[in-house]
Amino acid sequence: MIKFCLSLILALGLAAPLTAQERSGPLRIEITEGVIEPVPIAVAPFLAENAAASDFARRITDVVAADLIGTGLFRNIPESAYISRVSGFDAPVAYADWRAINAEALVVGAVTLSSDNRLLVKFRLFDVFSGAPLGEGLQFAGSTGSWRRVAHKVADQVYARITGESAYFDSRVVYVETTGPKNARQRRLSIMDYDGANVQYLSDASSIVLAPRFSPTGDRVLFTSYESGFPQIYEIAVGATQKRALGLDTDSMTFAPRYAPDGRRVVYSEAKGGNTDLYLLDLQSGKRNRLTSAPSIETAPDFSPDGSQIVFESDRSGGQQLYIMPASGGEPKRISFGQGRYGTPVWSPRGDYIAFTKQNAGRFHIGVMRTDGSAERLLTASFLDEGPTWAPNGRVLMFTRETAGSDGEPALFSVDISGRNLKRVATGTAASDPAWSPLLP
Amino acid sequence: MKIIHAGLLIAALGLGACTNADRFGPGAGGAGAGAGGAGAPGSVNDPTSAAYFNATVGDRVLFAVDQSTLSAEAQQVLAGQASWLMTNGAYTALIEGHADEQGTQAYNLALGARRASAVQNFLISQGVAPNRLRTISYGKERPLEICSTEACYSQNRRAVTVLTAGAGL
Amino acid sequence: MRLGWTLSGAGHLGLMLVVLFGGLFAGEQIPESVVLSEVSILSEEEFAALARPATAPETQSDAPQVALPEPVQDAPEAPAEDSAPEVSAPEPVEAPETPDSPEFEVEPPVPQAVVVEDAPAEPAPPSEIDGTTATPDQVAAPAPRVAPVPQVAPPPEAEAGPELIEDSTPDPEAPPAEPQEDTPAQAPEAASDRIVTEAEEEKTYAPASSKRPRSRPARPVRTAEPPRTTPATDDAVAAALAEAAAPDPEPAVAPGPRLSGGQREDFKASVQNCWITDPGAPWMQVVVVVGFELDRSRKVVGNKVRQVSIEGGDAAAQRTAFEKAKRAVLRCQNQNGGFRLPAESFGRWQQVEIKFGRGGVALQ
Repeated sequence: MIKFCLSLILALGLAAPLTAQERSGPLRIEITEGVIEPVPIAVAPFLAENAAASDFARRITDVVAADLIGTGLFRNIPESAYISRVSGFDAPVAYADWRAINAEALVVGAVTLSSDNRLLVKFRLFDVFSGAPLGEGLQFAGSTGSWRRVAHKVADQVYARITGESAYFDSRVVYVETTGPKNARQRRLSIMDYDGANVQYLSDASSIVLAPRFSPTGDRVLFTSYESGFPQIYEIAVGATQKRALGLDTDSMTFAPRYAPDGRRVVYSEAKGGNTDLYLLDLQSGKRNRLTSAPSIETAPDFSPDGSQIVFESDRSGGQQLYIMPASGGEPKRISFGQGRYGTPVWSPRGDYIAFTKQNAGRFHIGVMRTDGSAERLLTASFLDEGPTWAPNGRVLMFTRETAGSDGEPALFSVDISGRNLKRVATGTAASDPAWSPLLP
Repeated sequence: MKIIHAGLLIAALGLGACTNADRFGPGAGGAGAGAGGAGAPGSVNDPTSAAYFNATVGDRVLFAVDQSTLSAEAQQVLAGQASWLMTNGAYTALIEGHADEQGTQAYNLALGARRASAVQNFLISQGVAPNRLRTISYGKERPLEICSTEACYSQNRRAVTVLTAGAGL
Repeated sequence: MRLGWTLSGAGHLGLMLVVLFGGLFAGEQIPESVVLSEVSILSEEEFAALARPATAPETQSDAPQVALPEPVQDAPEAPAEDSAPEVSAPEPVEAPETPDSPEFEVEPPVPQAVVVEDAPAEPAPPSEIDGTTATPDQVAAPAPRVAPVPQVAPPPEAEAGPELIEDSTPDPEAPPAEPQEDTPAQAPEAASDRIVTEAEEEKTYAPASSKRPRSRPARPVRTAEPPRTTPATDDAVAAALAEAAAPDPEPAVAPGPRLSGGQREDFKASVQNCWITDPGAPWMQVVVVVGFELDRSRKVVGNKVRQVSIEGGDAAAQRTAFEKAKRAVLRCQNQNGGFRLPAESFGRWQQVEIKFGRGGVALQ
């Protein structure tokens, strides 16, 4: 009744006289440029379902928010701007209130600490503008000691659902912690969460260690150590203290190892008589295959994600450039042609890009190019940027940035492949040689 | 280029020697540790000592950017090393190849290996028995000078012959 | 424009009268009567609040949907975590210093009355995930790599139901409060002229910080005595408006004058400002055309945005691209209290199709 009245009035007032005439076609516009800004989201403080969980609830909320904000893709709306609170995990969501503060997504979570000291963390994600949940609610359980991982897992879910890409928060990075002056640097093999937390050491600082690399399952690490007095490749299980030498030639240097995607083979460099070439080792059988035999330097190899190809650097053309060859060896094809020198190629886990270090005109850059060498883009520039490693989702690169001068020291930095969001990774000490793990199980 | 030249000269004169010569490489244990009085065995004035080798013969040669070829000056130093080594047969040598920081890690390791190898080959060509010489590369991991200018880089692009007492390897 | 406002203003006044009186008279019959009673005590403020939207066409409601839990998806239920086989209890014998014991079970609990279409292989039942590294020496056994978690079905379509389109009154503090820490850090780094991205960044930075239209002097969104009392009115108003508007489209509409170039650009700019892009994302390779219908208040009818066509990228990228486009449209109408379009040309913009993206290689 009332509606009818209203309609009538409106119809009279608003819908001015209409002539019968055919409708014109839709208004069509084309938008090619949007804005690049963080998507505003609300990570509502996780609810503590029992008193014992309140501290964890707070910390987990912080980590979830930090993960998301840290990507540069999101902005967390401060709680002080909230119009409505999240009163309960299962309480209906007042979408309008979240829309009013412009939150595109809302994360609601709850934490329970059970009597046997286990954490239960559940969350739901809501698409505010569509007024609907975004995916199902999920729950993770873990020991209290793993609370950060639980938080990362929640953040991974949120990230994946909003962006449509897989995430990378629940991952680790193996790197080299460095201390001491430039000419007497001590290096120690270390592992940390991707965000710098939970540092764990795999070696002491008694000998030079270089370029650790994760196995495809993240449970083992290859690296080069001078422990025997001579650079050789070792493998160590994450969490173990005993490493093993790969048992390669002991009278020639071996270095720059990387696992094949199957985790059973290792490609590496060996310098014999001053000439560095690539070799492939079968970890089980110990059988070795020489992949290149050129008088030039061939090093820094890396497999394509499907294992069929190897990208590496070589100075066969007279300067350091990038090449791709079949994983079984064979004729390499050069892919880098720009000015300067190209090294340390790493294949994106997505398979679409190769990241590299570029040295040109006295500066170092981290860059990416397509696997055919096209679409080269430099993401960074500094006195010395080197050795990129991909986040498990192929979205972010971490690398070593070293400052100049006698007090120069290395630090880990990360950058989005768009070239944005460059920032230092929070390691407690100077650090170099990062390698990202796959997403943890 | 001038700076490089200067560096080479210094090396050739043996002045570039070696406060740090034996800092690196476990093989350096037996070398020139003694700092005894003048003329004392093992001292700089004992022509059969590692200290003499380091200071007077010259234990290192320098390289141009991204190069492993031996300059004339370098060859001169190495010729001296070769004849000293042949005279003092009780020593073996570990040749360390180094690079400056202006390069990527793996490449610099390979480059250092090339440099060490160039020295090794030259010494062999001069008559030093191959089994007395080993090579190792430190890439850019062990710079001698720590500034970030060519003055330091030129000193870091080096191959150092580190003596070890005791025959055969 | 002005005509529109006038009409709208008149409409609103009329409305209010009707609400006031009609409400009193017709109250008994109407289920909403409960709410209507509140209306009878409109305060000055509330009146103003109601009247204000007259400038920006209509329905400003604060629709606190909380009040009447419309068919909310999440029917509360007991987390069913117990059903989840809790397999991986063994505390991973991690390295000495490892603080975290990465053993998890991912339980698909939090049951939720979500209507998941084509639920993909059900949320991986607690496929027990054991620790990354169980025992120190257990190198060989490749840790079962379980997808991080059951990936859930795509977000439901934009059938945002009949819920009210409220004027967004963009949050007064959010934008300034979060200084987006990364931006400053990048800037200095980006200072080289050699770098492509940096050039690119130059361009993108500026907008990044200023884009969000600081719509309207941050007037208190909800203060002590917020217009909470009026939602019912607004509901009614909106409903009425919707009804009033609805009949229009059917009978042919006079197209009205063509949009001028400036008007088109203005509209385009308003949408553009809401389309949050991500140059690093695969979905940027997708070109999606979305269509929607606007009512005379310049809002999307039924909040429905449909996909007209889509190309480029894989399925996931396409899904995301569409979501982003949809969100841009819905967010924009809210931010601006309706799109910026001339009322007299309603027929020209009643139906809109927007093509988002330019395809090609992302990041270029």
